[in-house]
Amino acid sequence: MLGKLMKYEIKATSRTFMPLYLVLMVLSLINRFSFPLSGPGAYRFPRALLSALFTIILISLFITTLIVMISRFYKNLLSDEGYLMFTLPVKAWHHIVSKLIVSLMWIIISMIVSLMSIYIITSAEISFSEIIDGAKLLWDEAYVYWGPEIYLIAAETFIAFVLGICTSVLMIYASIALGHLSARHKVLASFGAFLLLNTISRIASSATSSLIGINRSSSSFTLTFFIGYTEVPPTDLILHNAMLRSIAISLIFSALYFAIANTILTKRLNLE
Amino acid sequence: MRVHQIIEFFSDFYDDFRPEKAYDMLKKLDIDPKDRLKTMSKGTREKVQLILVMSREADLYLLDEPIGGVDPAARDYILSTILNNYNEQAAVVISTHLISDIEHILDDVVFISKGKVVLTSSVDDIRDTHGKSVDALFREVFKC
Repeated sequence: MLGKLMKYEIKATSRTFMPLYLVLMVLSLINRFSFPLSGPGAYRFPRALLSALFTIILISLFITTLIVMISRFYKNLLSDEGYLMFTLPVKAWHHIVSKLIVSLMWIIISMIVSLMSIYIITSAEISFSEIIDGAKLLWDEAYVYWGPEIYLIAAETFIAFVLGICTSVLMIYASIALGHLSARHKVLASFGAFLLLNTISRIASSATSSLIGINRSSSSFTLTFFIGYTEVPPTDLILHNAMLRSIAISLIFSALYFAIANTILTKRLNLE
Repeated sequence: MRVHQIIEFFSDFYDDFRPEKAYDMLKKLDIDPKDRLKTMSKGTREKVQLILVMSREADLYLLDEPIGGVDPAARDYILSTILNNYNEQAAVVISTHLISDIEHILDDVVFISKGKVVLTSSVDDIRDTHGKSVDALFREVFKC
């Protein structure tokens, strides 16, 4: 049943994403091949226009991802479409999980597509092999520094990253569900709930970090990791700690937000 | 969603859904399966919803104010088309205010007032003992 829900969720959302991806790709190709044309003279204006358009599409891709994520949860489950969805022989958590997985999928695909489109534009200057070489160099140096441990650190970083997105999506779902409890001004109440949840999770997150005894946030470690560890060398232990802490916090908050959304959808569902 | 997509959706989720039944009823009521539900009139949308429900092979159908948005002339035709289609073993419970329009298809009636059952009877009994139609009796029982 979860698979079927996801199938229809992908069907309903791909109508929005596929054309956007296509436009982005086409625009980046046009941008790429207008590079040689861009002399100091006449071609400057259309090129500036093209790159501005490209940037706008790129930004709107991420805004669209966010809007689709919110509207699919709100419209499909909590507006009159909810009558159909909640009479289906599936559990409420199936709805949440299917929407979460599909959102996660689009967020990651959007990131990959954006990176690809940026690569297409810059491919005149940098070849693909150069990027691979650069990545290899980074990996090799990291390997020299941390040894085989690097696999574990990379895996932890990836899991922390995905779980982080997961938590954000679930926080939005929980906020919408909480906002729906309000009799009037549901959208405003959802915003309020989001601000509240966001503040609480931030406070809780920094409280646990001081409790464990790490004063730096995990993100600053990731930053040092990417910028260059030689200047501020973090030991693998600190990195492990930071990643594991980030994973643990994400898991706790994901479970909490999921429980909020699931409870409201099962026990307090009030369709208009 | 287009009607044929909704039919596909239903057959995916409900094992007892019979798509051929749905298409048959759509044809009888002159509804194009390629039409979008969004652009349909209220009455047509209600017809589609009723068709979708009645295309399942259930033992009990619960219909809350079916086809309220359809004109009275079409109501008869729709009801007979759709309700004749259901499984012989099944029971259909209809809650409605449009009594006179559907009373000829009813076997039993239950009158409910302020959450309490005020009358339970078969339609034949009402006609025999009261000599009235269900609609007339309803108007009498609930006289303001």
